[in-house]
Amino acid sequence: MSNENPLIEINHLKKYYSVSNGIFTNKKASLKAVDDVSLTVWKKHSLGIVGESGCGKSTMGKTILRLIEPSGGSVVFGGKELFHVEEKRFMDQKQLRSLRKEMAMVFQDPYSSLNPHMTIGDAVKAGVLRHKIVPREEVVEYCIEMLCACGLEKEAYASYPNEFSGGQRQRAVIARALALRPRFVVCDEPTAALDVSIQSQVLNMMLDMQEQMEFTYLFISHNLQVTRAFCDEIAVMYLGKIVEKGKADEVYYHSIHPYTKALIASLPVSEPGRKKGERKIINSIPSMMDVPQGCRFHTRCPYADEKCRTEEPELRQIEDGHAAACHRA
Amino acid sequence: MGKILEVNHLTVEFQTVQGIASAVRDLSFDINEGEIIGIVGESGSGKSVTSLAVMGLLDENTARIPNGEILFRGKDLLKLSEKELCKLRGAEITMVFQEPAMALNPVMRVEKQLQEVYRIHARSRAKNCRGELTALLEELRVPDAGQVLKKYPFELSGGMKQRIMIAMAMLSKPQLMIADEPTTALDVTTQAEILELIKMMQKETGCAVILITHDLGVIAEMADRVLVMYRGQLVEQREIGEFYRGARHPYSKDLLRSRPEGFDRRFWSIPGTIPNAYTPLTGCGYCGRCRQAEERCQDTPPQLTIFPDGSQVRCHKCRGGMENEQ
Repeated sequence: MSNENPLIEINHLKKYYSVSNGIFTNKKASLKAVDDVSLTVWKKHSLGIVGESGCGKSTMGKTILRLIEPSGGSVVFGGKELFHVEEKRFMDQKQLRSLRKEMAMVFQDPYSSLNPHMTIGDAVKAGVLRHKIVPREEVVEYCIEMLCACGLEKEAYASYPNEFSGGQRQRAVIARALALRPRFVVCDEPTAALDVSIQSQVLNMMLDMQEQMEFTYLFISHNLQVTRAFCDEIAVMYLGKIVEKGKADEVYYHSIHPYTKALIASLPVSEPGRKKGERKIINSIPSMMDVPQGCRFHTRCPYADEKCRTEEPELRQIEDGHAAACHRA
Repeated sequence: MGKILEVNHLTVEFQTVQGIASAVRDLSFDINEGEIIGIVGESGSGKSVTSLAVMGLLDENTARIPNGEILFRGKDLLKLSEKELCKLRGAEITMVFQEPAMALNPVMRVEKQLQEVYRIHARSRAKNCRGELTALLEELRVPDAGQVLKKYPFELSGGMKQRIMIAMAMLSKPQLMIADEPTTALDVTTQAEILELIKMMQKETGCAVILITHDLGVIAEMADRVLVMYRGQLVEQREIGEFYRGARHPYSKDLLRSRPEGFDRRFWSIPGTIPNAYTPLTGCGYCGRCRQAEERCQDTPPQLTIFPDGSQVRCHKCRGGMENEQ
């Protein structure tokens, strides 16, 4: 993949929140939602971010787009630097706003991401008008075309979100994002609220659109099975850090990190009685407020030893293009 | 093994501004003591309404049950007075809801909410039940159970809240527990834990469980028998192993195929969507999306065929106990 161009380069991205320790103290604890993440997203490829809730994957998606102000690191988008916190370089708002049309976002919950007082058509139209995607007189036609491409009926244009089911709403949300003809789309659990059969329809539609319009996706999900089929590459995140990354099939079928293995073993079996890998993961995810010392997974890892408790493993190449942060790898 | 619950010809309708919505149509099924049955179907197929009907939790102002009976140990729940129903509900029949955050009272400490069940149904003094509550939570692998009891629901994670819900449902040692999408709002890792716990509690107490979900993986892991619902009708009912080896109804086959595993870059999907509940049902409910639909499927409603092994299928193409080929 190295002969292709990166669309997005994320270097040492950090997002810390300061959290008050109580009302009688000035002491602030810091919550490291995204802690030193470096990733590259290649043009026309899809990168999947997988992890449990509370591991910082959504925060990361939003920080990359600068919907949340970063605390550290830099992001370069198509050769233009969005920000470089350490060197205090931030793209000014005007430039950023014109770049917004190249970066779209599909949110998780199709119920709360559509304005109930706006027709679907108006929701899609707003962005198209703002960024002058097509001449004014063609806007309505273009929006209807986008809705149809996303598998909705023409009538959807004049309908309100409450007339739609979850799957249809999510299609509308995707149509709204894709209507800007972005180059980069962050999809934050786009199918988590949907039924299995509707999920495959929506994912297929997103893949079709990717082929037609050459999008690059950042696909955030907690389901490794879906992510493997949808993405070219996968990065597994745990408590704000990437613990494993590599080609989708490699990460899924030849996972290295015990956390990735545990995630796979947690997936429901495909047939009754089929043996699955023993789910050795213990406890639940620790709070972001007190990330364990050493390897952050050691509190739940069945293989943890003394070294894991004291020394934090680096994310290092194990095989070509497959990296993991584990002492045992 | 005795039948604990028998649902016969249950029909549920909702009277709304837009007309009459048929949510459940002529549904019959039963569940044996200590059995886990799974009800699968898309949203809008009537699974949740069925469970609410069993619990007697349907909104009386809009919902109507024009016919059918729900026999719990031979007693028709639909004929019981509210007072009699209250004695059963939460004691002998309990429920775990999909969204634990919505089901727990946000302004009450966990302990108080659990005590309430104790006070009302276990007929014991609430004051001296702390030990038992702690023991139950510990059994449900809640770390630091004593502390958790003192917390409010918002202080707990989704998985922890769902454990509290299960504790609440198990506290009165019920004979039937209905779990309506108990893990849909949870992560895969937490889902695996919660399913394990439900199974463990079920084994221990021997209660029957109705597990409602749209995830066939969850069913495969948990259930003894599966019911597939579509548009409020039962379309297939089968023993779990048989179902995964060779489902008969085209809808079941399509559902099985739309599981995400084993695909690359494209997923198998069922075309179209489930028609809404106002659409009148003529012929087979699935014919609009079925790949094998024929002319007769459009206008003749298929009957439920019962096979010698007790399984049931509602499809024109598998009548008379004959397997239809792929």
